[in-house]
Amino acid sequence: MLSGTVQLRGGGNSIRVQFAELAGFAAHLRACSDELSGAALGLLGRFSREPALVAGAALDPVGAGQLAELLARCLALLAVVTLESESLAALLAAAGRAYEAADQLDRRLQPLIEAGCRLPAALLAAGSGHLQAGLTRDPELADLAVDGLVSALVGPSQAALPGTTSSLSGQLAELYADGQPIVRARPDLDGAATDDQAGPPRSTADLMRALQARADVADGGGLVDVRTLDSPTGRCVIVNIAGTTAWNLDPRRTSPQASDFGTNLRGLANQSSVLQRGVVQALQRAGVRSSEPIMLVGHSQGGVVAAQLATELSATGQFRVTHLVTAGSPIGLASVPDSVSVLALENDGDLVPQLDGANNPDRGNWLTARVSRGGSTIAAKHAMATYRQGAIDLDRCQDPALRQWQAGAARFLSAHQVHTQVFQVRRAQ
Amino acid sequence: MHLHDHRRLDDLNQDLRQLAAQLRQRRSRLWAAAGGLSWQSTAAAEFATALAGLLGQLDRLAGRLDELSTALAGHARRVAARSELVASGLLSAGRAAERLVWPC
Repeated sequence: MLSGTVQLRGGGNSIRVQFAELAGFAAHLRACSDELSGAALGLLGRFSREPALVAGAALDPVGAGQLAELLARCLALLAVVTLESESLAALLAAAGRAYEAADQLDRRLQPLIEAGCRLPAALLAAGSGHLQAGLTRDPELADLAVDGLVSALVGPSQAALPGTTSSLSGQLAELYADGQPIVRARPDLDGAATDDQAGPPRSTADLMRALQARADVADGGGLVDVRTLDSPTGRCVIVNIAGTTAWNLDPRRTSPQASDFGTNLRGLANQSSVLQRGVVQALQRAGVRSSEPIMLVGHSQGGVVAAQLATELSATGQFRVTHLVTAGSPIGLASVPDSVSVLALENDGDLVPQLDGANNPDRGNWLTARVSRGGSTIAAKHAMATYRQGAIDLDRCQDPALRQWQAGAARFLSAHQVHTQVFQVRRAQ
Repeated sequence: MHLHDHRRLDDLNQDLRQLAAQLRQRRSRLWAAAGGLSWQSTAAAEFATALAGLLGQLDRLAGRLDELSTALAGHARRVAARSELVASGLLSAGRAAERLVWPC
């Protein structure tokens, strides 16, 4: 059903495309990128060295000023288009290689390991460094790439076989050392680096704003908010888990960051991860009681980990998870129990929630909200900030299913006080 | 008589127009290549939409180059007219000075 720019429905879609076609199109894009880079440099050089322009500026200073302004706009747009086309080309090429490796897997993991080891180099190849600059400028692009590559490795090519995705990702996950979590409080981040100054959350958009505040500070990765809320119906807890922070495709290099590539693989395989266990320890250290209702909120990888936590904690009864909110997360394969009320936000054009190759369940306790926000780039569609905007649209939606979900989450959205403790989960080396 | 070489600006302008045309050709080729991909789901269609966004930016870039080219052409015309004006003024002043020095 439609309400403004928000569409509420269940389900997701998988992607299947031949790796050769991906590689071919990536080559087109790279040629485009090279052409643009050359054009940008050539144009800048010509204009800056042209004596006729210098002489003309004295006779037509206003016109010369307009020319300078237009030239600056052209160069700015050239830079953006060059960066985006090259980034997209690198991602497509890497996905193509991953498809190829997966096709050649033939029950032997070695070729895939080697392909995985080559991926970072492939992504950062092409010499110009535009992609690296892009990743630096927009870390969520890396998050997107990691999630996309996970799917490329284990999902689409095998999606027709039931259970193959989990099975393959599980085999791959074993290559990455999971280790034990080291959890420490980060009181230095409790104040300005949280959303407490804005007060207790009142809406989905407020939940996303707080999650963005968490995601905005990487600082070694694995940062988790444990937000204690005092509401009219008693104390409750919101846990914020942000997305991927470490780009360690090579399994021989273990990352101390808990929110890394290995955790992505474990998430898709429905296996426990060091980040997941670390969040449980954070809840214990924060003094959360087993009877207190908990809402887990996660973006991208954080949503996957949150969904697994909801499943695990409901089974063990160690903590009482009642609500799960994800943004841009592939959680269609998660076995979240009926006792947990799920709100899954998915943005139009964001590939990540679709990449598990599984539709979100169409159940009474599971609401999938499709929003339509963000620019034309893939990274923008997946960005945390974009989901925050989408949540604003969602809050305006009058759909009964959404109202019902909000009513069920009322205790989390009507608190009069909130206090956030920040914890960091690291992998013991 | 011109005080500057307007042909250089004309050459620069010509290069700008060629670059814009080159970008449009590249855009068309990319669009054709994207159409040849055998996407098999609606999500993939959304991915193609993202690509279309990139191609749209190429269009805008070509448009801005056209805009720059038009502005450059206007600038070149104004500079040419003013340089001619200044040159004729200098010529007149020179003749007047010549008459002052050699009145007969």
